[in-house]
Amino acid sequence: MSAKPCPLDIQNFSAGYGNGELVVRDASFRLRAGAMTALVGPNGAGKSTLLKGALGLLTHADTACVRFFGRPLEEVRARVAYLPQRAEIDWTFPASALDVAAMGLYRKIGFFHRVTGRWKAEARKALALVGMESLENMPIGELSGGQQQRVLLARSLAQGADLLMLDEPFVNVDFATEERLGAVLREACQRGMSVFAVHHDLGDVRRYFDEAVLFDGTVVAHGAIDVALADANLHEAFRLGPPPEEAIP
Amino acid sequence: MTSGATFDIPFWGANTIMVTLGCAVFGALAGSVGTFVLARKQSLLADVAGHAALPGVALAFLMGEWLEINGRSPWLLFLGGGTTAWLAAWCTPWLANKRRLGADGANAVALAGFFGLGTVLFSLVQSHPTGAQGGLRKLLFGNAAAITSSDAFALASIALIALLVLVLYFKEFSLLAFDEAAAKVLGFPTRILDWMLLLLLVATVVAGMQVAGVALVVSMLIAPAAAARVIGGSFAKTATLAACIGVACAVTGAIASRAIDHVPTGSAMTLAATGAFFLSIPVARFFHSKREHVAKELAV
Repeated sequence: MSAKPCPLDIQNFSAGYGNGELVVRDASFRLRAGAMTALVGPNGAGKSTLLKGALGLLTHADTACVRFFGRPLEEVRARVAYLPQRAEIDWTFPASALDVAAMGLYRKIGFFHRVTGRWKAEARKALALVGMESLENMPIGELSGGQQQRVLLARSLAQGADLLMLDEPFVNVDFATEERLGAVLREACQRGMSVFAVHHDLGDVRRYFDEAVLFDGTVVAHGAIDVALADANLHEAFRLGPPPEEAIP
Repeated sequence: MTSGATFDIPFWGANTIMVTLGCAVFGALAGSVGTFVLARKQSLLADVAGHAALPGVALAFLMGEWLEINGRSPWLLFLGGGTTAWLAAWCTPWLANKRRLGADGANAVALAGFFGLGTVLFSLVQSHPTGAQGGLRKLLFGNAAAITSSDAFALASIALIALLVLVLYFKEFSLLAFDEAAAKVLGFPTRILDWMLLLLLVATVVAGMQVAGVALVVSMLIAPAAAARVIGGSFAKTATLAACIGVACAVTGAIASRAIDHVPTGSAMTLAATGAFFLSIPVARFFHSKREHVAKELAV
């Protein structure tokens, strides 16, 4: 039986903005298929830049060093979904939850074709997977923060993505919503999806994620949570100086 | 019926019907394109494009007269106005992004610059032997009563083609307006779609020059869309509602300006559109309270 292809393989990847300064330098790691992986690091470490650069959303990014499922992004776009930070989306946009979920199907529907009942039924199925089917006609601006995240997640599920890349999905949501979102993402993983999310809270990485990439402009450590977030690695990434020596009994 | 503002047969002659239909098609285009302009936070850019059409129109007229072709031809004026409106719509975001001026400053600089150039060129048009009789002054605030059937045919043609493009690419445009990053990751040609939307904005400005006027065409782009957006619903419903409000305001403005002497059509349309916007607030409150009730019941 052949192993599942690596959902995201980044080797010596660099990215930055127009001023020529690199924010991400020589980053290399491989995501484990079917796992929930957190991208953690200090503020300004370039976590969002890494995500956007890998997805070709920046003009100054070496995307030739990035492979999704062993191929360039151009060949597997339908298998990759991106959820930006909530603040990057205009939630006053006049659209219902069903409209947004259906957006994940636009590529399949194709140019010049309308979103007919058949496609709406598929979008409804995706909303049902995240428990939002009862609010399908609700304008997105009238949904709570957690409900909005779930609608975006439904869009990715409707798309049929196998890799979900999220930028700070748990920011500005209350604890109950965070738990619900975490459960929905876990269910998505159990259906075969891989999740890669920027996460800022070191305290609850273990609660939601299987692995972590510790990042500070480049990869400091990567692997199982306990290994990647070992004290020595955290001190290096957060520039806290060397870890305190163990107390002598 | 004998008074001046009557609705008798001569008032509804073939020319009037043609002009009213042209206004209606323009209203539908302005409302639906305005929905995208508003969603993309480009209302001030639309105002810049409107004002920037003025120097293009004046240049087109002067060049037409110089080349001894009809400088008053609607197609020539559309080409001139469209070219400078496009230039403004393209260079203003560039100024904002590349020169660290910000959208606010870039819009103000571009609007003042293009409109200033337009007024200087217009004074040249007025001093031209045929310029004063050319009726170009109506392009500032619009005058449906003064436009001919061929003008109306030209503006309706542009508006209909633009509407067709909008309908054909509606879902791609809506994804671009809602989440450009997702559109890019999904592989849509976002730069081309962006340029197409700018072209639709310019087409609306050009189609509305003679009826709404370059100074007030932005009101027909934004007010009907804002009214529809306040009421809410899906994006397709909002755009359709905005188009309907646009038609109602454009036709009301055209009829009012023909019925009441010395009232520019653009001003009458603007007042109708502003009225529609304020009317939308209590309507929206009614629908909102119903939805809020449902949301509370179903909130998880």
